[in-house]
Amino acid sequence: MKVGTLIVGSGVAATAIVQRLLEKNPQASILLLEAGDRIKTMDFGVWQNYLLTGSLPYTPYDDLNYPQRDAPGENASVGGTELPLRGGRVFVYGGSTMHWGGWSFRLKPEDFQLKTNTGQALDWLFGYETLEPYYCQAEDYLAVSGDSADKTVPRSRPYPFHEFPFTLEDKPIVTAMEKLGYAYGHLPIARRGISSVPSRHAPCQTTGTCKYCPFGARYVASNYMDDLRAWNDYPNLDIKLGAIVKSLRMDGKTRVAGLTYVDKTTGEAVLVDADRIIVAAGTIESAKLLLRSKPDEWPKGVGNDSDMVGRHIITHPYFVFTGALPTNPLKLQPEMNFPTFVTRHFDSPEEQAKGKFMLIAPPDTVPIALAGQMQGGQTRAAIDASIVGSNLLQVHGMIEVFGRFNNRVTNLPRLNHLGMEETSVDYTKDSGFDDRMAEIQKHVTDIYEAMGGTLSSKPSISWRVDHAASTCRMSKDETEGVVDADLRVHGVDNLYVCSNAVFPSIGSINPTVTLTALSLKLADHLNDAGAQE
Amino acid sequence: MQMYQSTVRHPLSPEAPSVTDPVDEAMWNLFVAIGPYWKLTDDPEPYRLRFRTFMEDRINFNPIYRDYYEFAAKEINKLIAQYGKEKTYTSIFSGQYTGTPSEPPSWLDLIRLYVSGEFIGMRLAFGGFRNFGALNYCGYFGGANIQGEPVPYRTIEEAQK
Repeated sequence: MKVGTLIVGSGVAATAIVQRLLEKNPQASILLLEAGDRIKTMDFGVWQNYLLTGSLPYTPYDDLNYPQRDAPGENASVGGTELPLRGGRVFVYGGSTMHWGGWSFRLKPEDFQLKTNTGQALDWLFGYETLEPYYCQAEDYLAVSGDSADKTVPRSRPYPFHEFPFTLEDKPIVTAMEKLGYAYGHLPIARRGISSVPSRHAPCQTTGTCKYCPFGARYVASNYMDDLRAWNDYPNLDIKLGAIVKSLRMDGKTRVAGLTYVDKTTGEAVLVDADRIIVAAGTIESAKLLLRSKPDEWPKGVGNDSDMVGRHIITHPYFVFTGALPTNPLKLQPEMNFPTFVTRHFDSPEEQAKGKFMLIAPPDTVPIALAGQMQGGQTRAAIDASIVGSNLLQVHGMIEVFGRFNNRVTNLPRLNHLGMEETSVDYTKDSGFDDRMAEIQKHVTDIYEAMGGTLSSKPSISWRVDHAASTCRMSKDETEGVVDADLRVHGVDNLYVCSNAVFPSIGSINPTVTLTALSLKLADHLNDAGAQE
Repeated sequence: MQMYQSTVRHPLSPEAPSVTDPVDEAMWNLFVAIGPYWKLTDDPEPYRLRFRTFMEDRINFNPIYRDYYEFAAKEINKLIAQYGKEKTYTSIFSGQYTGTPSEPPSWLDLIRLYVSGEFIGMRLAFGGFRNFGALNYCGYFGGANIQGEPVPYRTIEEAQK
């Protein structure tokens, strides 16, 4: 089999690239290979079950936990700091957009010059101004609702949908921001609104079950890929599910010839030739594919002569501060399932060298759970008293950490429960991380006091790999990274990586809008280069 | 090459049967009783059709729910005959499942877990949550965020007016 463009993965990067390529050339020959299965989206029965039990249909496609004493588990964490894989990514058609939260931030201009400003990691190979038009397109593509008047990050055109107003639950933290003089704003969120631009996708109904939206108002890549198939005439677009890519095949050192995958249904190995290959399989799997592809010309893995592939892995430590709100006369309680408040006050050039951070008021800032109280047999009087009385008060956030050579991912020589190569994660946090968190806690303590609450303890911190990045970072040459400014693997003319893996740094914010912008930029590059390489 | 694999995993079965009218009536009465027990002021009558559809959805999702509903109807009717409605519903709503892995759930536990507990969740999501002070709730179709229209949840701005 021979195709024009072969894409490994079916998440937001793959889907955005496919759409842009087909807009230019509806006859383009494109094949997507996805290791996972299809999860039915927008199904009322599945949604209802999630509402009542919290059970999501795609969790069987998460990683298992690392091995424990009494449970075999899978993968390995071999560093000093555990980066949980389970729940951080989903191996299904549509990729991790199946479960993403939709927080849709742009990086700030200084994020593109991390090394110049701080000596850490690498600079991006282009500046914010180069990506800005693509940020606009990415926000349109993902259907982001945001505050177009927000000056936090420069923008050349409005969001496609206007912002969600602050919930009443945001009142304590907004009050604190005003008292302390900290900048704050509306959290840009990928929830479709209503505008004069026609769309086949439904607007958000503020139903509060965003991990499984019954309407498809939160972007899920498989819904958009299905649209491409169902509503358009793209005769040469094809998708193969249950296709586990084993290795790349080369035609000499500088050209990739194709790849080999295993069809999960038949167990057979299938060879596909391609004019060009885009590896869009996420930060970890993209690096692992390059590493386990070891033709004679690349004995250490494709693109890995300088031992850069899989290195420098970073993610966002996500911290949860919990304190007490002495009384709750406004009966603050969760009314939404996504945050509407963010402060990027500490996501600033002044904080960059120490690690920028952002703070949000979560949708369960005051985590009252009515159904649980009633199901637990509490009386109405007890519930009423608990609502207006003392309650927990939460503030969440994320902090930037920097890539280190010794932090890496590699393949393990065994298969996980889905038939894919297991992962070894070797990560150790910087020695100064705990001190930085102590600094952040001082700031958050001030915020709690200004909110009229009290912070009770240190935060809980999750190092889960949701925002993992930088394992194939872009660089001027192969001695520092893996891909060039066009996301082409150094030394291979027709092989690209498009995932968070190419980010030299991730700032303190969610990466998906930046990845989408990069994907659209790559598609334009490929379109400019001609239909085929 | 196929777009879709042949083994799509999805639990819905088009062959699943619905609930009988007597079971439906017993379950509806249990659902309605949630209101007086927790002093909810919303009228349940507008939820009647959605409630029936909800039970059908649960059975379609997992056919054992038909047995849960039939079993619950039988046991609840027996209790009502012996103790009356108020005591029966109070005994169901005032407790919670407290079983352990080594101890199988009692019949009352089953009703609380799979029937009355889920009915409570749906009653809140249909609109019962409003009794506790909010304008929106997880599972409630609050409506879209349309510029110039009322916001479908409580906002700081509205509270300041």
